[in-house]
Amino acid sequence: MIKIAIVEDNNTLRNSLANLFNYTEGMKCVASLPDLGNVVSEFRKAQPDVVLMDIGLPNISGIEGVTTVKENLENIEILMFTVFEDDENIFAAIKAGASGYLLKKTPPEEIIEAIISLYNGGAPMSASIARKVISSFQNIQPTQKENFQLTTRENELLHALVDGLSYKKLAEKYFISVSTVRTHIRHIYKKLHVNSKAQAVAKVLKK
Amino acid sequence: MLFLFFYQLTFSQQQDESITKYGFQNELVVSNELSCFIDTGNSLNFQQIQLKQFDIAYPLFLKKIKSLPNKNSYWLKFSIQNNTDSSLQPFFDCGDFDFISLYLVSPHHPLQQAEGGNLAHQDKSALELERMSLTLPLMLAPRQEGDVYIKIIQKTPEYYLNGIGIYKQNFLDNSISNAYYQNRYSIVWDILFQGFLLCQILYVLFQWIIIRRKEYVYYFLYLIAIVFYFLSRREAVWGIPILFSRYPAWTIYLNKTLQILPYFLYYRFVRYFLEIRKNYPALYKWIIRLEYFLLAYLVFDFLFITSTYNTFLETKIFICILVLVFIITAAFIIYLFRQKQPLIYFVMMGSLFVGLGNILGVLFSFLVFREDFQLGITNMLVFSQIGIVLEILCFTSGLSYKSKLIEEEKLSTQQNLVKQLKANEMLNAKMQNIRNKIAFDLHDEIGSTLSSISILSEMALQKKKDAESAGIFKEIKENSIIVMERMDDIVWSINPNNDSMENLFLRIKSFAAKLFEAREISYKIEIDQNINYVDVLMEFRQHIYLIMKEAINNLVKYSGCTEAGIFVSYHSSLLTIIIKDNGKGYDVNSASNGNGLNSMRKRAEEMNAEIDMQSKINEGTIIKLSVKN
Repeated sequence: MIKIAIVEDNNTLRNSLANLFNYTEGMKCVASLPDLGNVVSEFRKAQPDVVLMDIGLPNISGIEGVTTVKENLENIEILMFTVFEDDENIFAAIKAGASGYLLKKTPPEEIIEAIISLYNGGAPMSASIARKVISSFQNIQPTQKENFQLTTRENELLHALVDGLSYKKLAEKYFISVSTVRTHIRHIYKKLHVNSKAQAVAKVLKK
Repeated sequence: MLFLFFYQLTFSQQQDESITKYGFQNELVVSNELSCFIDTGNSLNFQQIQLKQFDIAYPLFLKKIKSLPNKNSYWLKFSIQNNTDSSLQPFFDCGDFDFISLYLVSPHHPLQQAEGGNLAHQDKSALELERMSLTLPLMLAPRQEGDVYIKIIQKTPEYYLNGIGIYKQNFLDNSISNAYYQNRYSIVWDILFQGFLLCQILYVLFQWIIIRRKEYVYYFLYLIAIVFYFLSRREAVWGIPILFSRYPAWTIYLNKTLQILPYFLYYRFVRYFLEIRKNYPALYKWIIRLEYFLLAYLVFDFLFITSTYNTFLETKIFICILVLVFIITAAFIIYLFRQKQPLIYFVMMGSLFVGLGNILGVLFSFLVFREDFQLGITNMLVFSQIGIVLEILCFTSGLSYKSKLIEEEKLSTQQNLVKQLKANEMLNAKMQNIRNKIAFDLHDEIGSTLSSISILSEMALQKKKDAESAGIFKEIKENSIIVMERMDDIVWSINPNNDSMENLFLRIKSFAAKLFEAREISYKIEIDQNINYVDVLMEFRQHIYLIMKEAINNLVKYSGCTEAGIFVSYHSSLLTIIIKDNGKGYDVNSASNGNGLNSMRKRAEEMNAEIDMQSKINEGTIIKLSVKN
């Protein structure tokens, strides 16, 4: 049973999503919040596996929400749910710890698919996000530990993603399975998250 | 101008009818007195004159000349004898007349003749000495004796006769060089003055070539008129034949013209300098009237003097006109002074200097000639000249000051423009931000609700499995998804972050790749690297994106192909996009009314781009879009 939490300020949508998840086999909606007030306590109570988080929330933005949730409940997977394919915000969310994003225009069945895939270890990434990831890693200071640099294979994958290859094509190209591709991407996300955390810390320390 | 007036008043003293020798002693013998004769009607030839009795009294003779100048010719006669055994060349000063002819009648000698006079054309062969001294030479052979006849024709009412002077050449040389020596200061001053004027003329000419404003033209002409005026007055003193020495009649013809012309040009100059047409339209009308009046007077005066030669009357008219002009000018200046425009002060100062110079000149001429005041200078024009120099300095400063004002104005206009531009830019940016925000907020609201519609209809679809309702719910779901797609595209394209072609093709790539993979179409997408540096208008980006989307959608939905390719290249300002497949193609003629194809053509038209859709049944389709940048 996949436990899903929703953070979305549009009431209609939030309710429809809750209904959808509850109606689907193997899923259950355990929390449905209109904003990020009390998010930590609610999530501690509900213990969701996957969170569908809107970026444009009132008062505290979704990106901050990601940081807050990840700080307090580390093993939750967060999927940004947004109307705009706004690279800046999405990328910021990913750096904060989100595992991917979904556009609201996604057909419902694909939403379900994405959640299941995320639960099973996958991580979606689009070409434009891949580009931003590459440049983000290029800006990293050499003082940081080796562990958090990209490996050659990961770099290759990112570049291929920028070229528009799907995961399937990537798998074909590099003679690996699609799930291996997904694992690589997850690692990339983790490193991105850590790097951004480290950068944030470094910024604070500099002050 | 006024000098001759006063000159004339002193003429009443001329009575001397004697013949005076200068430098000659007993070697030349002349009769004691002049004999006079008047040829009324100027009808007799020289032969007949010689037979006449010269018995008119000298005072009567002079009176007659004064009253009836140009209808008659006036004759003087005296005898002369060369007492030596060598030739003599005496020079005769026959007074200040318009036309003088000198004849020497001697038995056993040929007739000698010499021509001269103020209005007579200067012969090029005339001796320097003749010209400078205004005397006429005759050659007397050894022991030659005879009668000297002097024929006088007078056109103007001004003349001077105080007996006849006969000069020996060396005496003449001495007196000329003495006069020159005594006048050297005033001659040098004249030359400096004219030099100053010529410098100014060149300067103004070059200023005009660079700064094309009308006032420079009239200032230039004004200076030239002044140069000519002083040339006409002083050329005789310098002794160099330039213009008026060669054609002495023109001194008379142009005397008043050259005095009024500067006024006319001065008014034109001031008109343009102060931009009176623009600033003071009421004054403008009056100045134009004055200008035309002066012009008319110039023409009138020229015709008058060339026909009547009556310089006295001419001068009287001139003085009246001048007084009128002075009064009107004073009125103008007072009016302008009230306007308190800085440029006016330059004009005022200049006019003041010239006016003062002229007045002083007249005043001192009066004192010197009438009251015998000793001033130590012979050139009464000095005062005018100094006034003009000062005026020129004022005008030149004024012109420079005006240039400075114009510069400053330009600068401040520029600065204002820049400020305006900046303000506009900021406003535009703000507007753009507001627009974006509105679009985004709208999109957000609508998008979320549409999403829930598609979710709900999906759920309904799951619950109600009968075909009819299923069909309806499916349509609801698909419609809402289509709308979300379209909105997404629009908002994406107006987002300024997506300004680059790079982003555009990235988006197309993902979109196409996803579709192709879903249908298991093997594909090739090649996008030229230099696309990234191409700059394309936002409207064009939208069009290109939507055309490609339509083409790719058609390809995926209808072609049933197994291979597809998208090729984008950019070369010499031409963007080329090719979308091809190996599917079943379509009939180009019959399908041309399909909405999708039409909208692609329309979009291409709006970009002034060419779209070429080729397809053969079972051989595939190629769509080529060429956009000029």
